[in-house]
Amino acid sequence: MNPVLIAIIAAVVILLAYFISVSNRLNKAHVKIDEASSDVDVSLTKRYDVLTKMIDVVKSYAKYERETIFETIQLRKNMSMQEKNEANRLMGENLARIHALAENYPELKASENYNTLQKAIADVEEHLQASRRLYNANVSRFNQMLVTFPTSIIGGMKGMHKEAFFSAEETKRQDVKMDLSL
Amino acid sequence: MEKMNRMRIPIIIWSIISLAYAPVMIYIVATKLVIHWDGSIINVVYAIASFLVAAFIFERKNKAIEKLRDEYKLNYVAGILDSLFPGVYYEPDESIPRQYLADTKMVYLGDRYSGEDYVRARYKNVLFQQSDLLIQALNQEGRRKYKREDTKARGSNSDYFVCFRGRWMIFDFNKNFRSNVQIIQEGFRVPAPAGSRRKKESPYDPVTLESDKFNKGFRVYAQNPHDAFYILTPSFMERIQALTAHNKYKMMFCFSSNKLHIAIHGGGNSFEPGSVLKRFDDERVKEAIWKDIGSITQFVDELSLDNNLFMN
Repeated sequence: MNPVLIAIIAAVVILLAYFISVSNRLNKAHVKIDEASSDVDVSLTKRYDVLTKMIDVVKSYAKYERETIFETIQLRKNMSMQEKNEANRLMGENLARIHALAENYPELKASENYNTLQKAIADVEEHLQASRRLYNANVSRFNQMLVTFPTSIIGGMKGMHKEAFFSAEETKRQDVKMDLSL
Repeated sequence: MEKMNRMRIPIIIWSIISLAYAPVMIYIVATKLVIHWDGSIINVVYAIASFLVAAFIFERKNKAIEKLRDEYKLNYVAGILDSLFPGVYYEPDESIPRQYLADTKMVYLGDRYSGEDYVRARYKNVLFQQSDLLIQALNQEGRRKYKREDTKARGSNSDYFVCFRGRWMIFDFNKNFRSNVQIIQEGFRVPAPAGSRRKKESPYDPVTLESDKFNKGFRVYAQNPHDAFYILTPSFMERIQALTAHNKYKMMFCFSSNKLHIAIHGGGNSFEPGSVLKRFDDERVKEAIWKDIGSITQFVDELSLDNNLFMN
């Protein structure tokens, strides 16, 4: 057989094998992102559930707060990362309102239900942070693969694009203002 | 303390006798069995008698050391532990039960399991257990000689391979989690004999965290990566790094069933009286015991295991 032909066939086989290998790595990385995204959903749902219970406890004490002081949050299946970020932000704002309201109701702050839920919310937030970090670690790895040559070519051929990170809540990024006046 | 100092004397005497007798024994064996060997039974009798005398001296010395060790542990160590940890359980001849380690899959549990200096107590309301452990497995030579189920304590040390020798501690952990997470410090080797069922360092999947520095110093494995990120927050990773930087022995951590296991391979023999060549005094004895206790309490302090913010 013509040696040139053999060389061409060998090159094609090697390129094909390389393409398949990189393609599989990209697919696996994307699956890991999906798994981590589900993990984020679970943590968001848990946070939502505990937050709902806290709102119920607060409303039973704050009898004079007739209007809905808490923004309605919708959690649905297949939310985009942007929607999840928004839902998370709203939950954070509602939580901040709960803490602010509790300052006006000492009996609420002293109640066992409220304190139990405080601990539950702290734990749920730790889980949410873990989900966020795991998701972002997987996204970072995937995005790095997409921007590095020659994986970027194969990623482009497959129509893959960079994924969005799950961001920290805006309020947590701001400097904490401490009021030490009595 | 006077009693311990009196107990030093027979150990020193038997040590001197053994040092003096060693060349005598070598001379007898060399001359009777090698240089002047003429096949006569009397030479063999001389040689056997010299071994018997050596065995007697060795046995007396060991007995004296054991008596001193018992006195030290039962009267001094137990007393200090009792004053620091009310309700402490301390048993010098017991160890952490083997089945407590089985679920962690940290080290190969082998064929021989022994330990000493079992302590169970609370510090800052955190329940902990610790003991020295020696875990051995039959090596290839040993497996040729013995069936695994026959061994129990049979065979000499040369038939065995050390899987783990050091200190093992178990602490209640202040977070609830469902799956196992292992953290192996770089340089901590988890040996298993060739041909054993344990092929990989860990049966769990590797996890890469965001901190490059942490990833360089430690290898993390987890059944569920979420639990690895949940337990290993950035501040907790920093605390682990600070803790291990202060310790000369390499460590392995495992979070399992809401407990933290810490294995310190080669981590010394805890609660031992030390050299008998120097006189025992209150200060030296207390310092040695405090050092061993400190290496337990440092984990609670430096890892903030008493922070129960997340526990109901």
